Amino acid sequence: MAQMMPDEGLDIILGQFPLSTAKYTSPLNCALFTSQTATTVITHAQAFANITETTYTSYARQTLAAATWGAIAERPTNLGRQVTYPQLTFPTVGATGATINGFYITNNAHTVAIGQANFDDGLAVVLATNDVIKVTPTMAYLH
Amino acid sequence: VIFLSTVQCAESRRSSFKEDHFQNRRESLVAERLFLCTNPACSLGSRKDGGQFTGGATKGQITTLTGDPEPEHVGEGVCPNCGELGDEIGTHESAVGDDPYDDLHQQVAGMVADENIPVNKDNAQAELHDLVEERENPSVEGGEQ
Repeated sequence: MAQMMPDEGLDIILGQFPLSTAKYTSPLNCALFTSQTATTVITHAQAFANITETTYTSYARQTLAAATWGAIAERPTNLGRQVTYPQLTFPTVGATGATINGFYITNNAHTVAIGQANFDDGLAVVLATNDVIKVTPTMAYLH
Repeated sequence: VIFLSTVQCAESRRSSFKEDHFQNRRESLVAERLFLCTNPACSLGSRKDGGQFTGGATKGQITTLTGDPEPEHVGEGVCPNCGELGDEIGTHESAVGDDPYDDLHQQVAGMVADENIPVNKDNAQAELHDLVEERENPSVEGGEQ
């Protein structure tokens, strides 16, 4: 499974702390992508403009409200600290499906990629009519 | 800092579902009407917050969901996950990106699929980075003067 917090995503995080020069706006967005592959994501120097979002029938990216993230907890075992969002259910697929390679989190305006990740098992998810995809995003800082 | 994923699952609601003739507007990649499902019992989004959707549920989908053969609301604006009418909250447009390394991604995917090459889901990204580095800085490998 590949994952990447590109330069533009880390810039937002460092802009909060320690720089305190920018305050991010909640909610963030969780979107599904069809670009790249099931085992690769963008490189660190790439950005939002290099990712293609799915367009399956009835799809809409879902919001990630600051207040809805879970409590900060240990990243097992003693690797760091993490927060997990409750399971997100995306719209049931209508007439046209898609092959999903993973998900990415973007800023409020959906113009900056905070992070992009494949699914844990390294497999694409082929969505057909009436399928439902559920994603549980986790973010962590390692020691 | 790391960014971690997740769990995913795709589940078919009903294999016997008969698709209705609901117009798919996504082909044009133009902004679509965006709706918010406010049904607290609906699974769309997270359980705590309402979920968003475009388009809407077909008659067949709603009948499958609710058992009602003649649902009151059908089509655009009707939540495909619960069959309730949503609130229009704006527009939605999926982002269309362009990745100049797409050929390298596909090359790595081919390696992952080949059992004779020691590239798998855990080191595929590192392999991609090597290929990108070679392309951007060909002299690194000493192959060019």
